[in-house]
Amino acid sequence: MSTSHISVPRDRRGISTILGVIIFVGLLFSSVLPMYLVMREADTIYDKGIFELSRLDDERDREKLLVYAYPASLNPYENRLKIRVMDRCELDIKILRVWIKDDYIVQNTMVSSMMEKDLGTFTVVLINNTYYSVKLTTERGNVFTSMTGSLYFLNGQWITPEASVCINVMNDQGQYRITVENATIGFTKTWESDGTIHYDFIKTVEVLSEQAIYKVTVKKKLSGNWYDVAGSPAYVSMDYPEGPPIVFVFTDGRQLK
Amino acid sequence: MISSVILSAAVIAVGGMVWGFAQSATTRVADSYVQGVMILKEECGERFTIEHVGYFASNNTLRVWIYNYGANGIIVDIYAEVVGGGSASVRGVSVPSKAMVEAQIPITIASGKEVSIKAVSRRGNNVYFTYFRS
Repeated sequence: MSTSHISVPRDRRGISTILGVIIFVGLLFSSVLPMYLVMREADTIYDKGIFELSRLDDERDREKLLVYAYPASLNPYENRLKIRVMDRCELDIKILRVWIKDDYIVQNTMVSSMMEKDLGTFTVVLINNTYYSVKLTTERGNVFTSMTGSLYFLNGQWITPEASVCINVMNDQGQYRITVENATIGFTKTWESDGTIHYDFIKTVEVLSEQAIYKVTVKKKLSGNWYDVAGSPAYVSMDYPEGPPIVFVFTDGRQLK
Repeated sequence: MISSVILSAAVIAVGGMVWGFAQSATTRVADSYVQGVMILKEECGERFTIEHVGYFASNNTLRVWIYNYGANGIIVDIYAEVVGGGSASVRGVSVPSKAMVEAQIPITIASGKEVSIKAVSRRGNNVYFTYFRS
């Protein structure tokens, strides 16, 4: 048995190796790398989409709109409702629809941050002994119900909440004294918390239903003395039926004035 | 000399086939991956709510308004269940992006009853609403 050697000239035996390397590198750059880049691009688009969604969700959570619905006048069989809104967040809010019972009116109203706006008057069909719930839908998908609750129509009259001032107090803990007064008409009501309060709270004080401006003072007790909190005193105008029967005051009991 | 040419030709032939196969395979893998990511993005991007519910006692119909505030159109199935008995559903309600659509479900609801309403999108997201018939 004999063996024979196949010899390739020294200057040519690397050609196939070089070709192989070229093909491998070509494959890497023409197939694998584009695939990797496309996948990375898709991941980037996904991450961007998720980021935008989380931002929109966050904005939706922070949207805060106070809605006041009330009859346009105190006349019997008044069939018009007025709606006033107050944007209580740092975002502009676009209102898309106003719901009154099971009917909606298309809107396209933008309410600027921290601003108040009258949406106008809305005519309703009067049905005796019926609740009229009013709510608004925003572009971000929130539905805000009227702060005045469902309006109730009975025997030609609207049953609305009593004229009152709603005082919102942000609080860690503390003892509070709230005074609502109008010296001109001789109205004064004072409320004092029974001991220390450990949470945010709202105190509603009924006032006279005639038009007047009230001074609202919120004081916090520290070392035996009463101090005004941030936002106190506040002056609010009760102009029902030109305005809503409930007006809000916002104070921060975590900071003293 | 000849063997070198043959070997080179073989390398080119096999390399070309591998190249072609790899190109086709990576293209398909990339397409499939991108498609999967986009489907996932659309699923995560669904945003809808049951905006309002009303009841027509005259023809025993529950009316459900669905608002799609997301960027993609959705198809939802709506299920209504009266607490204490009775249920109904409506399927395949299409709600375009940024639009509100009313769906009607034939169901009898007695006064004072509570109804649980669930809307499930075809991508698997769902929202709930509770309605009381006064």
